[in-house]
Amino acid sequence: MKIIRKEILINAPAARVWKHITDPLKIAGWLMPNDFEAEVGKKFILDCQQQGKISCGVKEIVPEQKLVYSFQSRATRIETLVTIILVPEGKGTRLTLIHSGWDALPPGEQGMADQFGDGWGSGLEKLQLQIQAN
Amino acid sequence: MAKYSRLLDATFSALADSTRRKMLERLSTGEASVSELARPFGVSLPTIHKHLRVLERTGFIAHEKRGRVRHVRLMPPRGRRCQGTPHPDLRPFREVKDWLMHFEAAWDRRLLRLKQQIESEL
Repeated sequence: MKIIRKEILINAPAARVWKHITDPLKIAGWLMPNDFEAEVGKKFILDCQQQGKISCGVKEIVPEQKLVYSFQSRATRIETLVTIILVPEGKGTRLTLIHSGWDALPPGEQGMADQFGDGWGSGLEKLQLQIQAN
Repeated sequence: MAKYSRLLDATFSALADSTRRKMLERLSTGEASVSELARPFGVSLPTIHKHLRVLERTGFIAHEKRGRVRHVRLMPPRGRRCQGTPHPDLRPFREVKDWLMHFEAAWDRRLLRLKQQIESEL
Protein backbone atom coordinates (compact mmCIF):
# COMPACT_ATOMS: atom_id res chain seq x y z
CA MET A 1 0.00 0.00 0.00
CA LYS A 2 1.32 3.38 -0.88
CA ILE A 3 -0.71 5.13 1.82
CA ILE A 4 -2.96 4.54 4.78
CA ARG A 5 -5.94 6.87 4.59
CA LYS A 6 -8.56 7.27 7.30
CA GLU A 7 -11.53 9.61 7.61
CA ILE A 8 -13.74 10.35 10.57
CA LEU A 9 -16.53 12.88 11.13
CA ILE A 10 -16.32 14.62 14.49
CA ASN A 11 -19.25 16.56 15.94
CA ALA A 12 -17.26 19.63 16.92
CA PRO A 13 -15.95 22.75 15.14
CA ALA A 14 -12.49 22.60 13.55
CA ALA A 15 -11.04 24.96 16.18
CA ARG A 16 -11.80 22.44 18.91
CA VAL A 17 -10.54 19.47 16.91
CA TRP A 18 -7.35 21.44 16.22
CA LYS A 19 -6.68 21.79 19.97
CA HIS A 20 -6.89 18.03 20.39
CA ILE A 21 -4.35 17.36 17.67
CA THR A 22 -1.87 20.07 18.72
CA ASP A 23 -1.98 20.21 22.54
CA PRO A 24 0.45 17.63 23.98
CA LEU A 25 -1.83 16.73 26.90
CA LYS A 26 -4.80 16.25 24.60
CA ILE A 27 -2.69 14.31 22.07
CA ALA A 28 -1.67 11.98 24.89
CA GLY A 29 -5.35 11.25 25.48
CA TRP A 30 -5.96 9.67 22.08
CA LEU A 31 -2.53 9.00 20.58
CA MET A 32 0.52 8.62 22.82
CA PRO A 33 2.55 10.47 25.46
CA ASN A 34 4.54 13.11 23.57
CA ASP A 35 6.42 16.40 23.68
CA PHE A 36 4.72 17.95 20.65
CA GLU A 37 5.18 21.66 19.94
CA ALA A 38 3.15 23.31 17.19
CA GLU A 39 6.02 24.92 15.34
CA VAL A 40 7.43 23.98 11.93
CA GLY A 41 10.85 22.36 12.30
CA LYS A 42 10.33 21.19 15.90
CA LYS A 43 11.31 17.61 16.64
CA PHE A 44 9.18 15.58 19.00
CA ILE A 45 8.83 12.05 20.29
CA LEU A 46 5.73 9.89 20.41
CA ASP A 47 6.28 7.37 23.18
CA CYS A 48 4.80 4.06 22.10
CA GLN A 49 5.98 2.51 25.39
CA GLN A 50 6.81 -1.19 24.96
CA GLN A 51 6.91 -0.82 21.19
CA GLY A 52 9.55 1.87 21.40
CA LYS A 53 9.66 5.53 20.56
CA ILE A 54 8.72 7.27 17.34
CA SER A 55 10.83 10.21 16.18
CA CYS A 56 8.78 12.95 14.58
CA GLY A 57 9.30 16.43 13.14
CA VAL A 58 6.71 19.10 12.38
CA LYS A 59 6.68 19.79 8.62
CA GLU A 60 3.68 22.00 8.03
CA ILE A 61 1.06 23.86 10.04
CA VAL A 62 -2.03 25.60 8.71
CA PRO A 63 -4.00 26.41 11.89
CA GLU A 64 -7.34 24.59 12.11
CA GLN A 65 -6.81 23.11 8.63
CA LYS A 66 -3.69 21.06 8.20
CA LEU A 67 -0.91 19.45 10.23
CA VAL A 68 1.94 17.44 8.70
CA TYR A 69 4.69 15.63 10.58
CA SER A 70 7.35 13.09 9.76
CA PHE A 71 7.00 9.79 11.60
CA GLN A 72 9.89 7.39 11.98
CA SER A 73 9.47 4.36 14.17
CA ARG A 74 12.83 3.27 15.52
CA ALA A 75 11.96 -0.29 14.52
CA THR A 76 11.31 0.48 10.85
CA ARG A 77 13.84 3.29 10.36
CA ILE A 78 11.71 4.20 7.38
CA GLU A 79 10.64 7.83 7.55
CA THR A 80 6.96 8.13 6.80
CA LEU A 81 4.64 11.14 6.75
CA VAL A 82 1.45 11.77 8.71
CA THR A 83 -0.90 14.41 7.28
CA ILE A 84 -4.03 15.46 9.15
CA ILE A 85 -6.56 17.61 7.29
CA LEU A 86 -9.62 19.24 8.86
CA VAL A 87 -12.57 20.32 6.72
CA PRO A 88 -15.75 21.80 8.24
CA GLU A 89 -18.81 19.73 7.42
CA GLY A 90 -22.22 20.84 8.67
CA LYS A 91 -21.85 21.54 12.38
CA GLY A 92 -18.92 19.19 12.60
CA THR A 93 -15.48 18.58 11.13
CA ARG A 94 -14.29 15.88 8.78
CA LEU A 95 -10.82 14.72 9.79
CA THR A 96 -8.73 12.93 7.17
CA LEU A 97 -5.53 11.22 8.22
CA ILE A 98 -3.04 10.14 5.58
CA HIS A 99 -0.03 8.06 6.56
CA SER A 100 2.23 7.93 3.51
CA GLY A 101 5.82 7.15 2.60
CA TRP A 102 5.66 3.35 2.74
CA ASP A 103 7.16 3.30 -0.76
CA ALA A 104 10.54 2.50 0.78
CA LEU A 105 9.25 -1.05 1.15
CA PRO A 106 10.29 -3.26 -1.76
CA PRO A 107 7.90 -3.67 -4.71
CA GLY A 108 6.88 -7.22 -3.83
CA GLU A 109 5.59 -6.00 -0.51
CA GLN A 110 3.76 -3.05 -2.04
CA GLY A 111 1.89 -5.30 -4.44
CA MET A 112 0.73 -7.49 -1.61
CA ALA A 113 -0.12 -4.53 0.56
CA ASP A 114 -2.31 -3.08 -2.20
CA GLN A 115 -4.35 -6.23 -2.12
CA PHE A 116 -4.66 -6.33 1.60
CA GLY A 117 -5.71 -2.66 1.41
CA ASP A 118 -8.85 -3.77 -0.45
CA GLY A 119 -9.55 -6.24 2.31
CA TRP A 120 -9.82 -3.40 4.77
CA GLY A 121 -12.95 -2.00 3.14
CA SER A 122 -15.19 -4.17 5.27
CA GLY A 123 -13.31 -3.25 8.44
CA LEU A 124 -13.85 0.43 7.71
CA GLU A 125 -17.55 -0.08 7.08
CA LYS A 126 -17.85 -1.73 10.48
CA LEU A 127 -16.05 1.19 12.06
CA GLN A 128 -18.42 3.63 10.39
CA LEU A 129 -21.46 1.74 11.70
CA GLN A 130 -19.92 1.72 15.15
CA ILE A 131 -19.35 5.46 15.08
CA GLN A 132 -22.86 6.18 13.82
CA ALA A 133 -24.31 3.97 16.56
CA ASN A 134 -22.51 6.01 19.24
CA MET B 1 2.26 -6.52 18.62
CA ALA B 2 5.15 -7.07 21.02
CA LYS B 3 5.65 -10.59 19.70
CA TYR B 4 6.44 -9.12 16.30
CA SER B 5 9.12 -6.85 17.63
CA ARG B 6 12.30 -8.85 17.30
CA LEU B 7 11.59 -10.36 13.91
CA LEU B 8 10.32 -7.02 12.67
CA ASP B 9 13.37 -5.16 13.91
CA ALA B 10 15.52 -7.56 11.91
CA THR B 11 13.21 -7.48 8.89
CA PHE B 12 12.97 -3.72 8.75
CA SER B 13 16.65 -3.20 9.33
CA ALA B 14 17.27 -5.60 6.43
CA LEU B 15 14.91 -3.52 4.28
CA ALA B 16 16.23 -0.17 5.51
CA ASP B 17 19.24 -0.45 3.20
CA SER B 18 18.71 0.65 -0.41
CA THR B 19 21.34 -1.74 -1.81
CA ARG B 20 19.56 -4.67 -0.18
CA ARG B 21 16.20 -3.48 -1.49
CA LYS B 22 17.64 -3.25 -5.00
CA MET B 23 19.07 -6.74 -4.65
CA LEU B 24 15.64 -8.06 -3.68
CA GLU B 25 14.12 -6.22 -6.63
CA ARG B 26 16.63 -7.83 -8.94
CA LEU B 27 15.96 -11.26 -7.43
CA SER B 28 12.22 -10.84 -7.87
CA THR B 29 12.89 -11.27 -11.62
CA GLY B 30 14.71 -14.58 -11.07
CA GLU B 31 17.77 -16.10 -9.42
CA ALA B 32 21.23 -14.69 -9.95
CA SER B 33 24.82 -15.58 -9.20
CA VAL B 34 26.58 -13.50 -6.58
CA SER B 35 28.75 -11.77 -9.18
CA GLU B 36 25.69 -10.95 -11.32
CA LEU B 37 24.07 -9.46 -8.25
CA ALA B 38 27.16 -7.46 -7.37
CA ARG B 39 27.69 -5.98 -10.84
CA PRO B 40 25.24 -3.03 -10.80
CA PHE B 41 26.38 -1.81 -7.39
CA GLY B 42 30.09 -1.34 -7.94
CA VAL B 43 30.93 -2.46 -4.41
CA SER B 44 33.41 -5.05 -3.20
CA LEU B 45 32.52 -8.73 -3.02
CA PRO B 46 32.90 -8.83 0.80
CA THR B 47 30.34 -6.00 1.04
CA ILE B 48 27.92 -7.90 -1.19
CA HIS B 49 28.40 -11.02 0.92
CA LYS B 50 27.62 -9.00 4.03
CA HIS B 51 24.33 -7.81 2.49
CA LEU B 52 23.52 -11.36 1.39
CA ARG B 53 24.09 -12.68 4.92
CA VAL B 54 21.65 -10.12 6.32
CA LEU B 55 19.01 -11.05 3.74
CA GLU B 56 19.54 -14.74 4.32
CA ARG B 57 19.31 -14.44 8.10
CA THR B 58 15.99 -12.61 7.85
CA GLY B 59 14.62 -15.27 5.52
CA PHE B 60 14.35 -13.19 2.35
CA ILE B 61 16.74 -15.27 0.29
CA ALA B 62 18.47 -18.63 0.09
CA HIS B 63 21.61 -19.67 -1.73
CA GLU B 64 22.77 -22.79 -3.46
CA LYS B 65 26.27 -23.69 -4.59
CA ARG B 66 26.59 -25.22 -8.03
CA GLY B 67 30.19 -26.03 -8.85
CA ARG B 68 32.10 -22.94 -7.84
CA VAL B 69 29.25 -20.53 -8.36
CA ARG B 70 26.88 -19.40 -5.63
CA HIS B 71 23.34 -18.82 -6.86
CA VAL B 72 20.93 -16.66 -4.89
CA ARG B 73 17.15 -16.66 -5.06
CA LEU B 74 14.16 -15.27 -3.19
CA MET B 75 12.77 -17.69 -0.63
CA PRO B 76 9.94 -19.85 -1.95
CA PRO B 77 6.45 -19.70 -0.45
CA ARG B 78 6.18 -21.38 2.91
CA GLY B 79 2.67 -22.66 2.75
CA ARG B 80 1.03 -19.41 3.77
CA ARG B 81 -0.60 -17.68 0.84
CA CYS B 82 -2.67 -14.58 0.84
CA GLN B 83 -6.22 -15.31 -0.23
CA GLY B 84 -6.56 -14.75 -3.91
CA THR B 85 -3.13 -13.25 -4.43
CA PRO B 86 -0.95 -14.49 -7.23
CA HIS B 87 2.14 -13.33 -5.32
CA PRO B 88 4.20 -15.93 -3.53
CA ASP B 89 3.81 -15.29 0.15
CA LEU B 90 7.38 -14.63 1.15
CA ARG B 91 7.54 -14.98 4.91
CA PRO B 92 9.31 -11.78 5.93
CA PHE B 93 7.17 -9.81 3.50
CA ARG B 94 4.19 -11.32 5.25
CA GLU B 95 5.47 -10.14 8.63
CA VAL B 96 5.80 -6.60 7.30
CA LYS B 97 2.29 -6.79 5.93
CA ASP B 98 0.94 -7.94 9.28
CA TRP B 99 2.73 -5.07 10.88
CA LEU B 100 1.18 -2.54 8.48
CA MET B 101 -2.20 -4.04 9.22
CA HIS B 102 -1.61 -3.42 12.91
CA PHE B 103 -0.74 0.13 11.99
CA GLU B 104 -4.01 0.61 10.10
CA ALA B 105 -6.04 -0.86 12.92
CA ALA B 106 -4.16 1.31 15.42
CA TRP B 107 -5.12 4.48 13.52
CA ASP B 108 -8.76 3.36 13.50
CA ARG B 109 -8.69 2.96 17.27
CA ARG B 110 -6.84 6.21 17.87
CA LEU B 111 -9.15 8.29 15.69
CA LEU B 112 -12.16 6.79 17.39
CA ARG B 113 -10.61 7.74 20.75
CA LEU B 114 -9.98 11.26 19.43
CA LYS B 115 -13.62 11.59 18.35
CA GLN B 116 -14.85 10.37 21.72
CA GLN B 117 -12.42 12.61 23.59
CA ILE B 118 -13.59 15.73 21.73
CA GLU B 119 -17.29 14.93 21.75
CA SER B 120 -17.36 14.09 25.46
CA GLU B 121 -15.79 17.46 26.31
CA LEU B 122 -18.18 20.16 27.50
